[in-house]
Amino acid sequence: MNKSSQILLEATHLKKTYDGGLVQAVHDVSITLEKGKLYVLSGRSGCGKSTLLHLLGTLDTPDSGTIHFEGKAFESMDSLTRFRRENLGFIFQFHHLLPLLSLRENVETALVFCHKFSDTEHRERVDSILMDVGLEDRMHQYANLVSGGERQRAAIARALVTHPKLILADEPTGNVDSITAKAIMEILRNRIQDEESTVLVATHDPLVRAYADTIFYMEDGHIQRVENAH
Amino acid sequence: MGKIRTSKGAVIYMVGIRDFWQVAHKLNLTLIQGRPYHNEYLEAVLSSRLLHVNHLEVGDTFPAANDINLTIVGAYSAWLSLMNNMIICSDTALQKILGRPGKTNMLFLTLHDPLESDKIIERINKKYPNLRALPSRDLASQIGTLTSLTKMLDVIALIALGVAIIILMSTFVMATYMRMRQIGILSAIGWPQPMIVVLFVIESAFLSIAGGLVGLTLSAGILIALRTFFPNIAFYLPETLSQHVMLMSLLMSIVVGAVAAILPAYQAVRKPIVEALRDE
Ligand SMILES: Nc1ncnc2c1ncn2[C@@H]1O[C@H](COP(=O)(O)OP(=O)(O)OP(=O)(O)O)[C@@H](O)[C@H]1O
Ligand SMILES: [Mg+2]
Repeated sequence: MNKSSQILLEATHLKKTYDGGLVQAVHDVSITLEKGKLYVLSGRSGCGKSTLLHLLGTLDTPDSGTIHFEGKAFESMDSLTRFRRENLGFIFQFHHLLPLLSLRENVETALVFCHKFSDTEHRERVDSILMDVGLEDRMHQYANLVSGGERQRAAIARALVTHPKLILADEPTGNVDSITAKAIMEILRNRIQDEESTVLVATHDPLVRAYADTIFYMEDGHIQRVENAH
Repeated sequence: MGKIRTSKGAVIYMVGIRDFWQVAHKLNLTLIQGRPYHNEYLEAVLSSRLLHVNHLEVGDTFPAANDINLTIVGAYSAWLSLMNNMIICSDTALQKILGRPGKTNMLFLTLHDPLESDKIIERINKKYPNLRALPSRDLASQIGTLTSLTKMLDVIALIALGVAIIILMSTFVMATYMRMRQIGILSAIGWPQPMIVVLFVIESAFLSIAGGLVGLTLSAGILIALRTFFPNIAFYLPETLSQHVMLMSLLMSIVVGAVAAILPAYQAVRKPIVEALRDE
């Protein structure tokens, strides 16, 4: 296989400022993500990890720079909404579940407009993903009534259930103990093997780095160093 | 025109007019029983409510003044409940009852050419400074205490309605803004924006139907309570909430809820998603 067909996402010279240019949240970042790999974006609080993830996930637009996904520029896409629905899975820093839905219903929200699978497949995928994250007994609980770890696992299930090509995870282990953190990273690692997804995890948790194929060290809005694990 | 007060304290208006149909037409009254009064007799048409409340029937007589008895020859019903407290009789009968023979405070003129009315009104007003001529279309608004009272109540009701709508609207607008983050979440996981707006509008409409039903139940309860504990105002109140009123209230609540959700939901989906997500 040639190199370019391995590339999932390519971002060049991304820049994002806040407060009229005073805060340079992301400053001239260029990164390339290959298919089937787990990347970790590591750095101190405030270095711009979330901002970069939002840009790569079309939740925010860069001041300058371009992002190509499978060779196609974001600007040239007809519908970013559909692009997100079919290709991306988000795990947010603050889980962002809908409080008045059950955990299972929260997972199902991601499939409502996703036409990749049949209805039966939908149900099967929801069942199996809830099993993977260990929520099969808790899935009918309301999202606002369960523990932080359970919420985080439901958020992961929601991100994975559509079989996205790229999973963007912002501090997925931020609010859980180290055992749960390891379990979460195992789930993400397994996804890469089973479904050939690409994962980008932003974190300052050193534990997470052990699971990475490649680590980007970020500082003050730009990537200082890239480290390949293998 | 005159006023009398019943033993229960309710006010009853007496209207003396040569032709019953004139007043019936102007005030939207329907003769539901009996016949109009004869001009030269002491006869009257009462509202069916008045009859009911006072345990009277068509054919009965009642004392309208000392030693003057009116025979009830007909009953009317009115759309406006305030119109339900009238005794309508001929002008001569009323002059007798009020002890003012020969005095009239209203005349109706039928014109050969209705298009001339404005000119004729002007002429009358000029020639007889102590008369005031009005076209019949203005009658309803000039008929005196009765209508101005009705109007005042209408205005109060409208103001109350307006205030209620504004309060409801702002509540729903706030409620939708507070859910900015949820709108952001749905956008982020790829829900089409129009669907999100529709979802929130429908939800808001459902919430307000529920509110409308609660409101109707409360009003029905309050109505019963008022009618039971304050019999002297029971007279001005409708017996029950009409289907028309219920339907209109529910419709109104749906519309208010839906309209109030559209703008904030639309603004929320237009916002950059990160901003919507940051919202608390
Ligand atoms: N909406 C905003 N307005 C102004 N400044 C912002 C905004 N969002 C982020 N910033 C600033 O941009 C910089 C990068 O923020 P970002 O959230 O990307 O950091 P982070 O690496 O994710 O931090 P953490 O580890 O705490 O989540 C910070 O200095 C932050 O204060
Ligand atoms: Mg962050």
